[in-house]
Amino acid sequence: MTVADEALAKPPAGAPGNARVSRRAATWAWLWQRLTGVLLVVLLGVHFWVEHYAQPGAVLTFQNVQLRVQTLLFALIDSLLLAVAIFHGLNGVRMVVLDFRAGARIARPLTVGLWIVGLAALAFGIHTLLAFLGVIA
Amino acid sequence: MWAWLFHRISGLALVFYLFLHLMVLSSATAGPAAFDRAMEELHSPLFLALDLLLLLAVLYHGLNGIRVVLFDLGLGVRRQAALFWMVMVLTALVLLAAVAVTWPFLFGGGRAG
Amino acid sequence: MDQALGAADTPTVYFNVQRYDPEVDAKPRYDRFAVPYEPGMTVLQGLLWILDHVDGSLALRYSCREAACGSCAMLVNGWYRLACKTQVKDLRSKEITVQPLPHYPVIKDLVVDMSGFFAKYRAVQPYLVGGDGQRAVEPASGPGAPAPEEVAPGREFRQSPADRAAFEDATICILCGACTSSCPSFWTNPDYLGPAALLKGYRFAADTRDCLAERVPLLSGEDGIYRCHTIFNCTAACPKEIPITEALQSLKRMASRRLLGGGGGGGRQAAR
Repeated sequence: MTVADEALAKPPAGAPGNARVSRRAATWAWLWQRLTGVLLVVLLGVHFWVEHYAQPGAVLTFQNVQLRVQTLLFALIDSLLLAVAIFHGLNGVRMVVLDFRAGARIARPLTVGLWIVGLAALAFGIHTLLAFLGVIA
Repeated sequence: MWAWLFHRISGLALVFYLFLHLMVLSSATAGPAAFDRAMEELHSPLFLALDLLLLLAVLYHGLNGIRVVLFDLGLGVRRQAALFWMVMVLTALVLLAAVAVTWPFLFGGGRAG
Repeated sequence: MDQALGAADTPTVYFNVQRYDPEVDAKPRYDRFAVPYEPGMTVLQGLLWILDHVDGSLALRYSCREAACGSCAMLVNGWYRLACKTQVKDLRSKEITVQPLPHYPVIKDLVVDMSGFFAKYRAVQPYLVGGDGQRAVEPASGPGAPAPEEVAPGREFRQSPADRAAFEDATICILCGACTSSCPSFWTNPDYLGPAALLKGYRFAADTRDCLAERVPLLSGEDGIYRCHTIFNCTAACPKEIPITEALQSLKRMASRRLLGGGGGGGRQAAR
């Protein structure tokens, strides 16, 4: 059997239906990566400005952070940044893994696993935020 | 291809940093003193230099991200190489400005605020 | 050996050709051939000279010799080219390295296995599809074939010259396989449909006679357009200079518009 015969005998790779993820989910994942990416440019810009430039000479201390996040607006911005950054980062990881054949074959457990990691990281971050608010001490 | 490769490397580095960042900030749950000690630690020249590396990753990933989103909107696809160089130049300019600002704290023995 | 090789007034170029027979050789090797240069000589002519005069066992694919059939795509001095339309003088080197297209299995020497490539081509259904289930039928001919009006009852699918011109670029693809061979997403995930098949999908998705409701799902899976990360290798590699990445970007927008309920084709008959 020649190499060509063997290749022809194999089922065609990449036929529609080989993806283990629905087409709608694939399009959503792509779309959300773009939306969160653009949002991150804005939110990170705000985050960076506030932490490092808004008050020249101000030192990053517990008290200073506390003063900031006690404002509802900043508590919301920080929470949104946290959620959006985690989503964008982990969805990016998913994209990288799916770029490998072996990764694409575990697409579904991978997605579930990354959601668990992401939600845990979100809870962990909110926990820290609550510490600044004095809810946990 | 380089634009994509740098985007990917910086992206993975930023995910790693995101989790590191959350870990460091969580020192706040052990009280204000623990948090302030951690922040003090991060103002050493070593961590400031690492901050510049972080800034490089953020700048490149953000600017190239805008480039990619433009392509997704159908804008500038045929000028992709020129846009890549714009991303590189902008990244370099902002990074140089940041290095200039950070310089005294890196080598002048000053303490960063 | 040809007497021209020894002639002092004939410039000589050297072809370093990758040789590999996976059934015999443990790994690829390079054979160096001295080839008498003649003005206007293409890389394909050089390879055929070797085949005729030095080594009849050299395996390569070619057919039309005029960049229309897509058979002779290979790496020449490290870049994706059609051997038939690459002039030796344009390489500006007396040393010419010839390798098969990378990331396809080598069958022998410069001949690679394109069966996976064409399986993906078939997978995108490279013909007009329609919501009435009739459009996928091959044009019938011969005795006993149904009359055209039975295939598409009472319907003539008209297209304006402007609508046709909109996807002109995508119609000139000759399926040489250079783009898919150059794509990093394909290197790591050989299940990815790849730029060539997706470009063919775009050629029909952009055709006003095609049905987007049936077309887009063929292309928008995780092994479809979303493995494209606008790397632009395909566009750079294409010997026909087709803006492939641009076409794939259009497909992504079509898929998003459909998902968000916009229909995705302007005044297109999205579902007949």
